[in-house]
Amino acid sequence: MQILVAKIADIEVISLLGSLDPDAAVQLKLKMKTILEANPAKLIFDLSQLEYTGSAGLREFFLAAKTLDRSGGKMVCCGVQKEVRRIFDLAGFAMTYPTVPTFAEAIDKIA
Amino acid sequence: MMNPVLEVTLESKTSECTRLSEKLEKFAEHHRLSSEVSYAIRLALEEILVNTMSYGCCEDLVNTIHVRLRKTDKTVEVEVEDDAAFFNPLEAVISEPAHGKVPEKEGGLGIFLVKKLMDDLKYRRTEKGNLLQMVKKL
Repeated sequence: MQILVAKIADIEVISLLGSLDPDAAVQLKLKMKTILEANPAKLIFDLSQLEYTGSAGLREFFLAAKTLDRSGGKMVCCGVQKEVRRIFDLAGFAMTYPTVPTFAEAIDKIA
Repeated sequence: MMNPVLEVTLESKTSECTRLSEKLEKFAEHHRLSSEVSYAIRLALEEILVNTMSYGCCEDLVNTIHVRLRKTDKTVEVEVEDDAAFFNPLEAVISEPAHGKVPEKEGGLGIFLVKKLMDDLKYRRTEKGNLLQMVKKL
């Protein structure tokens, strides 16, 4: 699992590559703590190369979205692959928070 | 022809999930399981293992967890057996995640997903420990 963090203008971009299994979810939790403590106004999760997530990873997406919601920020997930999408749908994530097919659309949505 | 049965014995630590997923991937490839089926089995196994490791196994004991998969014509049968104290993961209190809310209880969301993704789940206490049997239809 690789977690890449970048900043494009005022947008935090977190790209996840590989499998978000239980140990990787712990890594992501630590990284997200630092990122969320800085109160970002805009956050994009690029999930186009995320092949798998279990419930621990999913909780991190819920927590980030909730935190941004509370502080008046915006969060968008993009490129969610088919099988991961199924899990997002089952948990009700995709119904509540915006997900878009491409990174360009995420930038449009959040800018 | 690869054996239709995959058996793996795991130690009680979450890093073992990675080793299991590698074996699972080979099993799925060989039996040409769909991505939907192999994803569901991987998720179900990980959620059950993490729950067992967190709640069922004692820190001061060396617990082992035995995982067994069997491919039949129409299903994949999955068994998880441990030598830990009584723990039935299916009795974890779960509720459908409310839209827009972070699921409150650690583990509750995992079991919720397992119940949604697998077609049959059975728990029984054995002489050795706990046995969970799951079935995923192909």
